[in-house]
Amino acid sequence: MQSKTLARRRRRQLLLFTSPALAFFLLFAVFPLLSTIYISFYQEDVFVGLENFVFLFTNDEASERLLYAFLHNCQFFLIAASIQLPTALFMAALLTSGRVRRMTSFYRTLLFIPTTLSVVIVGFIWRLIISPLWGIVDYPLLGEKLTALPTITLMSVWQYMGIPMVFLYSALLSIPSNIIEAAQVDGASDLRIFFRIKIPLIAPQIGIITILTFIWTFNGFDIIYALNGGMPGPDYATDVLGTLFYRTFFGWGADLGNQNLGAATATVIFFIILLGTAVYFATVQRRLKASQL
Amino acid sequence: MIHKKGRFQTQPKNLIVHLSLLFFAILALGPIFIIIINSFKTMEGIFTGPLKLPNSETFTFDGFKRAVAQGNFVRNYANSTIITLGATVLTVICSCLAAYGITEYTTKLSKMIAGLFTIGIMLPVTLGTIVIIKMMVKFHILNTHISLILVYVGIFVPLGVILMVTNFRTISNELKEAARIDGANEFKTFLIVLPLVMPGVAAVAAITMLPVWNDLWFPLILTAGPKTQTLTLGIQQFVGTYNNDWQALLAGLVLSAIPLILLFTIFSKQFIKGLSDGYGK
Amino acid sequence: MKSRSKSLVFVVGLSLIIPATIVSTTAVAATKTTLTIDSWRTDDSKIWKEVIIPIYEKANPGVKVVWAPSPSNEYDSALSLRMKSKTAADIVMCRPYGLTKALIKDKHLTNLTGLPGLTNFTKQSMQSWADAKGVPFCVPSASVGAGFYYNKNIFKELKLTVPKTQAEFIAVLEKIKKNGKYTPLVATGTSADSWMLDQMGLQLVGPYYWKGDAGGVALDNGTRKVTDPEYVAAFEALASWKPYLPKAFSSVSYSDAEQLFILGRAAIAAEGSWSVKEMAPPGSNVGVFGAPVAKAGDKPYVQVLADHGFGINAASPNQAAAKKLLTWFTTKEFAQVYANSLPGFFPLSKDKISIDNKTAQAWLDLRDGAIVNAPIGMDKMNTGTPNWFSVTTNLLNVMMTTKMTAKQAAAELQKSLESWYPPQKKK
Repeated sequence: MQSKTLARRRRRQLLLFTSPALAFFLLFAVFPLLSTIYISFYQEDVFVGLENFVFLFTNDEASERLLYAFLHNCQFFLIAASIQLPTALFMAALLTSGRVRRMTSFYRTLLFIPTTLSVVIVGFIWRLIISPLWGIVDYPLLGEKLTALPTITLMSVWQYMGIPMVFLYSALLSIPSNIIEAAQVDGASDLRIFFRIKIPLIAPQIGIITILTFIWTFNGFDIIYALNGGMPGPDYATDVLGTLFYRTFFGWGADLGNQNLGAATATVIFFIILLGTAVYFATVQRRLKASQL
Repeated sequence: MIHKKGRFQTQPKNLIVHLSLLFFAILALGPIFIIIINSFKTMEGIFTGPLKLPNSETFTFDGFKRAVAQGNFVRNYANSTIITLGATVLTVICSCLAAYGITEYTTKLSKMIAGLFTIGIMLPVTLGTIVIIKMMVKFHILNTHISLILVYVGIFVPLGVILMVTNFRTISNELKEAARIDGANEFKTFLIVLPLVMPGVAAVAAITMLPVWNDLWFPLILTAGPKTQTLTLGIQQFVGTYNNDWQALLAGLVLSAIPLILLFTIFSKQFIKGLSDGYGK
Repeated sequence: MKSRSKSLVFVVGLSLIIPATIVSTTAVAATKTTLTIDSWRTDDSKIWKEVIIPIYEKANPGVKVVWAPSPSNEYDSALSLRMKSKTAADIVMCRPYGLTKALIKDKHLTNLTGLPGLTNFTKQSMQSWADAKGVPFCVPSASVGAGFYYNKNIFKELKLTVPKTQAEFIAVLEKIKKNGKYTPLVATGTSADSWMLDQMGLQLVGPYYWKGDAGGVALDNGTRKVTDPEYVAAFEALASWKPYLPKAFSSVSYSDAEQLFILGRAAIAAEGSWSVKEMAPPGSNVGVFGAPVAKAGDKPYVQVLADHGFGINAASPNQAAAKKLLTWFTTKEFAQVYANSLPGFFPLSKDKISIDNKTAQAWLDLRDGAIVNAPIGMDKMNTGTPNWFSVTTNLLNVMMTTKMTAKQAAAELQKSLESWYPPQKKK
């Protein structure tokens, strides 16, 4: 009897505390999204079932764009993750090495500043710096198909380095000092401590920041849009799922956009992200957690 | 003896660490420095030598003058501040309450709610733009600061909740029990433990503030009128149909970046602590 | 602890109260009729606020006109969203064709039949913003032209004369290149600005080969193909610029190209009349010439490109006031102010307007004795997926920055048309 009322009270308390956040989230994020996904089954107010999705995957032009955008996203993510994460980890390791003492917060603050900038500024300044006409590079990095996407990815890496850096920095800080001290007493070298003790300990956090990078790169398109607009070239070489969605939904140039098709595109993107995240949690993160225990 | 030897050996190592960090800092700040010097140059100065310091010929305040004169720079600053503050404070409050609820009353339902917020982190909310405008029209709050604040809270509360959950998990039960024995109700208990997660609050605030301040899309759709225009949108006016006013654009961007840079410099300690406390569980 | 939570509550309260008070104060100030104009011309804000609007408000004391432009790149998407949710401005700037036609179809614009002053415009200039039956929905306000700016000092230094024919044009470019001091010709090589290679490239030189409007109609009807010689020749005329463009052309953006010319490093720029202020500032020595004719003796073609007009949001509560303002937009007074405030943008009305800016007048002079024609492909062939404009601009960009030949580009374009455009579909 008593446990039942207690459970009910706990449940009421839970709802009471979570209701403001849930209300905002459900009303201003979930509801608009669901009603938009709903229109992906329509075309000009007529129910068409999966027709929009069939078009996306079978129309020559549309399916080619979708495939390339997906591949470009994968490339963006792989380059970003393989450069950003190790570099951020290295920076975090330097900051927590205890060798810079009072300067730690000074360096940490400086290293985070690019993250606070808007993409407009980042795009402008890098374009100027690497411009063959005015800057320091003699090769049209942004104008050639092979180099355009990696170049933009690197700009994005530069800008958002601060986020994985502080995440990993704080993860390293939270390692109990007695573990490290014990290893030091055993005579382990700094490098050995870092690779054998610290990295395994923060593996779950490395995992989390990897998957967040994945979500952000697959959802994001802001720097590409700021640099190359809604039809990002050369010859669509920097087109990603985000710009493809924007172009399909809102239109670009003479293309007026089609909300229903755009909604279908966004639904596909959402499921790609969901699938990626689910696979990750089901395999990698679980093992990371298990190894930690 | 051992201590001395250790110290002697680490000196060059310290130098290497310093030099590496300095290298990264220059890499991070160099381009920003270039933005700043170019904002003080004439058009000719910007394009003939973007990497050069302004000299007597190329130095000018024109960009800043135009950036401040054209458009309602001061009002836009105020608008951005109100919207960013409003969205951040509300996000923080809602996240704290929800995270406290989720960690305190663990049931199947609480796990489901936490799962819902986890999915929320990956939602592309721009997709719902049309429905969002229609809602704002229905509520009669289109072209108000509130419309933007509401949307931003909806978008950023999931990440806030998840971060705060990790923070609240670090609080021992003893403190809460002690408060309850003293006769505090659940809300009071929440208020009593809240100061312990202040660093987490700083982290959530930081992560919310950045994208809100820099967002272009929702201000354009929901508050395009001159009275509620944000700073980021206002600066976009210098991007012309054919020609951009680079001077005013650069100066405007520099001015708009200052508040966030200052905030992060001042609050970086709390921000970091919030993130690391979250992992400490 | 307590004071902290108190201050938190205070901050929250404040953050909610401040916006609320601002909202309530904005609601009070509506005694005058306020007309809001939405536009993508952020560049013109100063002129509207300081010159144009004061003239109208002085003559119409009961009306307040607010100029509220949106960023150019996002204008179309923002406007169509706002129209759908009935939150658009009272008066909106109309793009030629494209979006405007779609807004007309969805009944978002007010029918302007019978608006006094519309008789002031030719049927041709009304075409880009009328429905299929010719019912007008926007007041045409400005046209622009495309062609070339040239640096007179460089021409003098290298003893060059303004080229009249394609052969002379190439000869002039060759001479500048041989001299080595200057970039002969600037155009835009980045993909984001590739519309320029269409508007100030293919559509500029093409009419000599495809014979003006007839060439456009033939494609629209499907009687000719893009792979036919007259169109391939147009692509080839544009491709002949390749050797004379700036180094690392694929990274030369529109502003880069302009800067090269303004700084005196380039002799000729493929450009438009809208850039008069930037390209030919007071004190510069800059001239203008039109597209070189295919062979000597040909009559010149010139494009009168409809740039923008003004229409009324059908959902606006201020229809009468908005119509009155639009009527003013049809007058000679407005045309005169507009032409002189925004040199390079030419009124579309039949009134004779005097233009103070000499370079702008030079652009207008190009129209004397020339055959006026419209860009091809921009109407019917733009209504499907993939549309003419996207495909053409992308192909031109690829053709000008890689080894793709004119023939290949034309073939690709034809292939894309055949994939959806009924008159061009393979039978």
